[in-house]
Amino acid sequence: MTNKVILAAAVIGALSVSGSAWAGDATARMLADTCAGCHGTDGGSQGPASPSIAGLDAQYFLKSMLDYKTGARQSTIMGRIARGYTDAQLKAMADYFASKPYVVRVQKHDTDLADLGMRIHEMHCAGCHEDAGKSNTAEGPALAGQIKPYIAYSMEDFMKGHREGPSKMNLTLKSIRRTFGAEGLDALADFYASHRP
Amino acid sequence: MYKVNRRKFIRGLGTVAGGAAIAASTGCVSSHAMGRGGHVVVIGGGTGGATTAKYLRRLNENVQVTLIESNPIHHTCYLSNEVLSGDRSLDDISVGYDGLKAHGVKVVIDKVTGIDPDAKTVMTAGGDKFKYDRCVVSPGVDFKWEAIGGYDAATSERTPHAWKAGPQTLTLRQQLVAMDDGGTVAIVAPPNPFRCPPGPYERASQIAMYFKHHKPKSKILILDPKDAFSKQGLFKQAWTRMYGFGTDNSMIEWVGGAGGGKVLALKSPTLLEGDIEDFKADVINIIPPQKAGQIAFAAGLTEGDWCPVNKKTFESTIHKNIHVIGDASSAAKMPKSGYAANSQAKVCAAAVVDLLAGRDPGEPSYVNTCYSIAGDDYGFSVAAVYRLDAEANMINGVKGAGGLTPMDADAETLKREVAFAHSWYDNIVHDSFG
Repeated sequence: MTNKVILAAAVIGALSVSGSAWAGDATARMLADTCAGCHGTDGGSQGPASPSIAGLDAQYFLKSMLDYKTGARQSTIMGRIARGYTDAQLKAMADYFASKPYVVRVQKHDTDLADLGMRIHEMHCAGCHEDAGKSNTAEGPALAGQIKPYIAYSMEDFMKGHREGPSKMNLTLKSIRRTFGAEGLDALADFYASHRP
Repeated sequence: MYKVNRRKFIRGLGTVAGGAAIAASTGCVSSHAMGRGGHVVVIGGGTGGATTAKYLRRLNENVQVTLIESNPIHHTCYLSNEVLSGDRSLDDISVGYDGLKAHGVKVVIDKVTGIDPDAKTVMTAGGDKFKYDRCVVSPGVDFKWEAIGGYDAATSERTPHAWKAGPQTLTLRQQLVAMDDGGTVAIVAPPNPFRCPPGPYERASQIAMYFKHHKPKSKILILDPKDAFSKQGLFKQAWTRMYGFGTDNSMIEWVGGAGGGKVLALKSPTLLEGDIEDFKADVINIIPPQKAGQIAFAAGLTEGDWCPVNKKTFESTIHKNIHVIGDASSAAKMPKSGYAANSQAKVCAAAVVDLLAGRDPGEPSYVNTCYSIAGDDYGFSVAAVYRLDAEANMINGVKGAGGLTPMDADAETLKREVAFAHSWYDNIVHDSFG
């Protein structure tokens, strides 16, 4: 585990000990339904750019929201929204979305590029994002079937240091770009977009 | 009492999942006895009504839901400004009700003429009556035709408001296409409060984007009775960057209330009478002042122009068992926006399900997000997360959260906001109607 993930796990632990939201708080479902207008009913996004949040690992979801809150993860709009919820509310939402099935969105992709992407994935990414990007953990959230532009944004943000991640992420992505050029990153996005439910 | 029309009954069976249709139809005779979870009649098939109907069924499939709407196809107001620039077709902003039917909602295409709150019955122009346990009214806005001289519903066919998306959106688009390069289009903005506060200014931006590519000598004149408007700093910055705003050769000119921007009358198809001076334009788009949709007045749900509600449940403070959501409700401090209607609908649906089951409604949570696309790869947003102050009956934004895209956002951020605006569209339409 990286330090960041351990930290997120510690936060989750603390929250579950101190009890979830205050007694009169909105239910997890009521809170989660406020996200659906942008991320789809129950968090399954229709695209074309905002990610699916259904079925995400609860620790990964919570860390993302806490990082949006502090600005450790830069965003267009998510920081402004994350700051509207208490940590306990975010934890409740994390558990709610984690309980929903992960959505693999059928997307357009270039098959040759996707083949190259598969090879790059196996070489550089499969250590954390196991099972061809289908595994879904706090350290390696599912990438297979995730919304394609969001994958591209994420890679760019890691390389620019706009998003904290495992120290390897930034270096690995830059190394892929050095070896394969920008096409290497496109290829990865196309590979993940080539998955079928 | 409602007599089941045999042919309509059979047609209903054809379009709705069998069991639900039977229960809902016979539910009109004795709603509570037949539908185990009760019968809810939703009036209006816009974003608010559709979301309520869908989420009622998601929350409790024993609740029978009948949605009554006069048009078989809904055109979303959001992103209809992209139809004006030519980036989107009317078809791209059209949605039907098959999605709701698949959730077991009985969809009735008819016009509601009245609500009897004592008999708990909804009457339609088609002569049908629907008995309800709870009724949710989501009629959107109506126009104050008396506010601008020489402008009424008939005139609006020629000089479109295009503020309810549909045929008038196309009329305005066609007028923009037909206009000679070097012409002027005037947009008459409404006073607060009105549907989609940034809408008139996004409209000006979308038309400017079209002009920039196709009719670069043309001008847009915004005539506004207000001295300030939604996302003003971001719009003016965008106009300055893309459309020469503030220079002698600006494509967009904004005249605020203090500068004589209040329009009193439409004197001819190309002439507006202003507070201080008259304005000539080749194409005129008047967005009239607004009030709650017609049925809200017919049913006696209004106080002034809008419908007062208990903001925890959206139940009318005038008539029990009737809830009002969306643009027609007084839901301060939420704006009259599509996302607000979608969010209020979920709060309302949860409250209705609780109330039908004899439970106290739980704590609500509300959000608004609203995107504006001001040009090529240039979007920005406003967001808010709200909580209820039950004592003051006020929906307050959480302090320290929400707000606007920062003025110093970089080009990549503005570009991504366009992609997220389009995602917002696909997701909210699916979340509401799908």
